[in-house]
Amino acid sequence: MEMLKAVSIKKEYGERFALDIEHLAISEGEILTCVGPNGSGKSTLIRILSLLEQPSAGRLFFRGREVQNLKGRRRLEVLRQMSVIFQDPIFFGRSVYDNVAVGLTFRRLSRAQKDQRVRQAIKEAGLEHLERADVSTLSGGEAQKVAFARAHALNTDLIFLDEPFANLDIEARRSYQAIVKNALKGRGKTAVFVTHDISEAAYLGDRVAVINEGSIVQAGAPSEVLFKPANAVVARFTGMENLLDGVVSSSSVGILTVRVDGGTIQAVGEEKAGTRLILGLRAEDIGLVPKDQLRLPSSFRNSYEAIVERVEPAGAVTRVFVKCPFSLVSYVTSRSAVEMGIVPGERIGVRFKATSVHVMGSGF
Amino acid sequence: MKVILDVFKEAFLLILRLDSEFLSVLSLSILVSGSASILAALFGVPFGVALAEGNFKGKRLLLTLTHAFMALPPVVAGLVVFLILMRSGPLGSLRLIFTPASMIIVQTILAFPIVAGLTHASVSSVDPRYEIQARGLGASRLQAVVVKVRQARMGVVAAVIAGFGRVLAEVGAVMIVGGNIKSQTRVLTTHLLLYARQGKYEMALADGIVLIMLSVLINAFLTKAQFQRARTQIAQRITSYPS
Repeated sequence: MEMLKAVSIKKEYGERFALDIEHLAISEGEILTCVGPNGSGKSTLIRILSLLEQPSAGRLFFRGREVQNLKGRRRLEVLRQMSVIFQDPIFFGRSVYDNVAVGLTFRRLSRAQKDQRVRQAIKEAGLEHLERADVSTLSGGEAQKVAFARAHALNTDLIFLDEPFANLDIEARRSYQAIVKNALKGRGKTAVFVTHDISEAAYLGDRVAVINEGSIVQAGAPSEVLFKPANAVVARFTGMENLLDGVVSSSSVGILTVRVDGGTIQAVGEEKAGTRLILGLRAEDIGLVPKDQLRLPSSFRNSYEAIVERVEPAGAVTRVFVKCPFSLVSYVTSRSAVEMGIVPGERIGVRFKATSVHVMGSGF
Repeated sequence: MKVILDVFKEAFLLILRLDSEFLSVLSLSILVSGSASILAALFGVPFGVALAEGNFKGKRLLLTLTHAFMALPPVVAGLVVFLILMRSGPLGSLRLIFTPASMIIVQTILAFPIVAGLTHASVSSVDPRYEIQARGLGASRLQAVVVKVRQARMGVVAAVIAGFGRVLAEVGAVMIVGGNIKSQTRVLTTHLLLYARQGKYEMALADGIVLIMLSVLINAFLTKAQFQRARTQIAQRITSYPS
């Protein structure tokens, strides 16, 4: 059953279009993550879906009931079936306990009911040791946990989370992501997450919607969005660093030969000769080998001799920029980079499978 | 120089003596300006909040008028209230002219725009995210407004302090509507004016010193309340939101 549905939602700020969503539905019990770069309209979308902001046009349905024009008591009634967690939590009281209780106070719950739910939420968020702590003394991560506990205590069926992990370091982020995911799934909640981090979106979401310039450019299962990006915008956003313009020069039994700038690449596809398209390649799918190895037989349909142009160590992995003669970026472990003696100006072998090449329609 | 020192000495002796006339002037000052400030706060704070948070027709006009009336000359306010309350005026039958009640009315009129205008300014400047966050946790519109007013409480208390300061120091309006009648409508400022005109500078100065002391004392009390309120309100659990 659909919990929330947005149809032809538009939001304009003056002349500027901030949001233009043709159709978006969230099923009961589903976690939808909206991912996109900064300024893509994700936060505006959350404010509109959660009834905190009016759309300029369009219709919004909550459990089948049209809600965007509700006023007063009726709007409040719907509003109280949702809760929203923002990136920078705003606190109202002094202690962690008071802040977790605030939404229940708004709902005028009895002291006993409130106490029981506040304690439960504090426990699930792992904040028991901070129950009496002053919120002004909390770290960014602790503050965000309080913000989550505050919404979780309300036990609403629908929860919106706007970049709830933004202020956390990687370690804290991972543990908190797991806490939130378990808490939501454990209670069968429906949630809409907003993040600019594709890996976070893929981990948390049952479904991922990629938003760019106010519109949804692709929505689907995390693996679909990650491995079958619908276009170059999504591909780039999901971390596909190599995008090449090309024209199909020949096509036979599902294998395309595509002419790209200065060379050819073999890919899997059914496009006809002459079709313009974009080829996408993940840096981690491109193998670097000593150039002598290229002569040995292998299952790689694409192999080239290349020159290392630039080397960027990034912790455990190293990004290697090569020219073969088109430019590519590859990841190798930093240990391999040292062992293979990969340095700028060195000649090296580059190879990747035809199945690693993502074929997308042209039109950036 | 010696003359001035003598005046000061006499003034302090007068204050220490606390004769009955002086006490009646002092208590009437507190009664009139205190009542006017409380009334101005009772009406001015909600009006200022409505100006900041309300969404109604004519809001901009009301705001402009409020700001204009913040600088209303007291003598003009006094004259208008006098014309309305004088025996032959439209409300003359109430027989309020030359009574402390008329003085409270005129001072309330003078303090009201200050309290309302400054309340509007402080509530308007609260970070709008407070309201959005409160609504996102299920606050009604009214509850969200209460959240904002609580955030603005320092400014709201400052607005009441400013209103009180204005009426305590005011002389023209109470002179016109009160008439400066001995033991009936004479307050510190009109008392001071009278003695200054008569050349009784030690008496006038005694009034002046007491006025300043009163202002310092009451403002110190309100400022203390302002900080204490801020502390205790945060310390308390939030349990008193309207539904």
